[in-house]
Amino acid sequence: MSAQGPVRPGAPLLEVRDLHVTLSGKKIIDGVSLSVERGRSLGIVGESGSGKSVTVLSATGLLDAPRTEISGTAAVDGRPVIGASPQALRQLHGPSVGFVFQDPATSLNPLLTLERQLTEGPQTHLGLTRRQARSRALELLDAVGLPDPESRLEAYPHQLSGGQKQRVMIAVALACDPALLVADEPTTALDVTTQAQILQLVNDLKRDRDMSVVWISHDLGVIGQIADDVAVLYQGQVVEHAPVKDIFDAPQHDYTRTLLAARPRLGAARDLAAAPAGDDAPLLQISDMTVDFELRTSTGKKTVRANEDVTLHVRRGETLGIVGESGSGKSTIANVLTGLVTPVSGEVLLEGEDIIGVKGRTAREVRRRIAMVFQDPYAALNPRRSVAASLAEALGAAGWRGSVRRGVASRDGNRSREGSAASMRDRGAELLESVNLDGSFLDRYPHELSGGQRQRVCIARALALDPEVLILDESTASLDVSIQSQVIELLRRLQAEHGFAYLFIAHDLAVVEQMSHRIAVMKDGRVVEENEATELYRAPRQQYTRDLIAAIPPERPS
Amino acid sequence: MSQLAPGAGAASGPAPETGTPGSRRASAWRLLLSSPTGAAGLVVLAVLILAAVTARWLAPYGPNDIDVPNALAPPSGRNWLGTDELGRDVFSRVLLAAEVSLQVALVSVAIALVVGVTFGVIAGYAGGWLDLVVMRSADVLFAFPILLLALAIVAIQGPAISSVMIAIGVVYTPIFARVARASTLSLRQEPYVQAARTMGVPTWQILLRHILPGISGPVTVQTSISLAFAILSEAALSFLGLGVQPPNPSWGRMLFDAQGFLASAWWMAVFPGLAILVTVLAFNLVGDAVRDVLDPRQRSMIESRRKR
Repeated sequence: MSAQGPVRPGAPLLEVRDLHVTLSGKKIIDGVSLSVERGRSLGIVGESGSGKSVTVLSATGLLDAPRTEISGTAAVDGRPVIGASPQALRQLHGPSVGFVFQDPATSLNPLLTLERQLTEGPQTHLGLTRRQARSRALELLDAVGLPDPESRLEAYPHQLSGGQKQRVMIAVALACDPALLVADEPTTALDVTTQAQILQLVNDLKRDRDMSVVWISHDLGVIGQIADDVAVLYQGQVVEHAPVKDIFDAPQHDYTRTLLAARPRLGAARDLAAAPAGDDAPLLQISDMTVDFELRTSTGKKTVRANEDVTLHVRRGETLGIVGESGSGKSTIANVLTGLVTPVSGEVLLEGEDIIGVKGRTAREVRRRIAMVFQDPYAALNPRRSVAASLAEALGAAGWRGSVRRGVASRDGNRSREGSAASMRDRGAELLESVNLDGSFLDRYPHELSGGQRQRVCIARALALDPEVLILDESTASLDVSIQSQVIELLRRLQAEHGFAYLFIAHDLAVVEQMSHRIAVMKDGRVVEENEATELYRAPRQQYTRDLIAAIPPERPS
Repeated sequence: MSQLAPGAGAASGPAPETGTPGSRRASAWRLLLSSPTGAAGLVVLAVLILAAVTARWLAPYGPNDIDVPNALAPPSGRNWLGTDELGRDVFSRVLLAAEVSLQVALVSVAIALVVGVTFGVIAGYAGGWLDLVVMRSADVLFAFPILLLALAIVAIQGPAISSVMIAIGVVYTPIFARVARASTLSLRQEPYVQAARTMGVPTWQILLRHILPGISGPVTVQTSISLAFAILSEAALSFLGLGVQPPNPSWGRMLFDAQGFLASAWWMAVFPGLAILVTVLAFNLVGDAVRDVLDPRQRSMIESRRKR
């Protein structure tokens, strides 16, 4: 309102020219130029660290990290952003730009009702009275498709599900009727079916309100659903900026082609090792397993059923994919198998022997035979311990004695497998080699590794146990697509070489299809459908499975 | 090497060989010294400790050399910090009291650290009824005013340096137990600890390898702050006549003796008081600096400031 710049008709709503950003002496953005026309949407894709978020945050004046240097120009609706005073930015943010961030759980204030969060902006920026703001809040909640908005106004964020929270975030962003909606990975933390709904919602809103959208994502499938134009970012530069059809049909830059080729697709060629013959006895058999959790709430104890009568089996050399949305009980199965959780009923047989509640030496042997690779490779390695020390811990748990850190032999334990320190270090290097890392990585620390390298180390650590069953709990979910495809390739090769049985837990149905021989679909703690992978996708029997498959963004924009 | 200190390498992906444990620790020391307040605190502490250790030889007079004709003499070339009502040299007594004070603080905090951290880690990691029993007992201990509890222990044990150490140690144990338990609770949920559990690594190894190093940050900070408070507690107990027994010098006792002469001999109160103030301040400054260095977020800010 204060800085009324010259508004040229037909000028882009957001225009960024030659943006350079340096954070703590490190060049993050190197000459980015972008523009978003009124009523159109721009998708920004790139892998982690490519500068997607920093570009948009600095172009809209939200970047205020210490030691930041920004140069170039950025204008919203003709009003300059870079170098603008905090006051000018505030007047720009509310009425002209709305923001939606990745994690709906932390973007809403847990202490305020939805009404307070929704009416704050309109009261400040549009000068509405409380009553007017309240009816506007109702309209907004209705517009974002939240059922029963009247009663929801009094609700607090914790009373909503993740998808509902993200809808509310969108409503908050729309509260002042902004001309531009900025969404930074808004569906990454959501389930596929919820993601599909949010995409639909934003597309509708964009059409109805003639709003511009900037949508940041690492997922080309999502971008294909929402964007009119796409900017591909790579190492702080825009390598390609074109209409969405051209990006998918005729990618100009090599990096775009790599991204397109690496993303998991339904029905992509699978070269899985043949599943073992059907008459093999299962290596791992889960029968009628039920797991309860006790939750302490303000009103007393509550029992939540995480698994109900789950029956699954997996054979040697076979991958069983387990898919389902968050809260469907997938990870509970992993926790039971690794002994972190005890079921209330049912049995889990490993080669015919029950492994529930085992203690002492038997327990250690069971833990060795069932290894697990965690979702987040950044958290699954102790940052204070070298790769060698992490591997040594696993080797130690598997009965090896000695040290991989020094070349000095330490005393052999009585259960020693091969004993000496040198052989243990050799074994560590061997393990790293089997995951395509060379022996020099032994002396590195987790912070010196990239995400993909860390996940390889985690896989090597699991291999150190010399296991028979490997649980892969969303093990590729936090990796960039190109890294993800490499890790999947590695996992397949290891299975072919060692005959591991995999339990592949994931929410991404395309990845699961690439990896699995058989797939079990879970909902509300139950297995609702289980079938051969190809059959399941070709002819899903349950409506829920059909919904899940339908919610996957199609390979190409329609 | 300094350019690729831990944290800087994280964003830039694989970096050449940098992060050996040695270089990590060395760089923490360097960061500590690079903060002006931390460096000042460390220097003052070093001087204090040196003075305390060499007090016997440094002091110009014996602590109990009575020289009644020269009583209540103001600071002069002969008695730098003046003399007390019996003509004893205040400078010598302050120096020798430093030895006692630091000794009491170190031993009592060591007791609190070992006992508190042990109980806290076990309670936090095991959870369940054990956690309940340990932490409720700590709460009960915590509910007593610190001096009152120390008074009770000294009253039972009789006034002696050893009872002062035990008393202060017991009083500070629940604080360490709480700090250790809280950090253990959050570390327990870390995927790398879970990973160790799923691999069947014995519990004691998980505690030694993952939990104890992981909680060292908050515990170190608590230690330096507790040392400062232990000095104060010792002074308070001695002031009340329950700590170091006369004629042995102690800062608190000297303050007590100075009470009657505040109007006529200010130096008797001011110099032991200053000694307490400087020591406590030094421990606090070092504690703050250590906390900043050990907190990764603060740490990267310090590093980026340094690189400029």
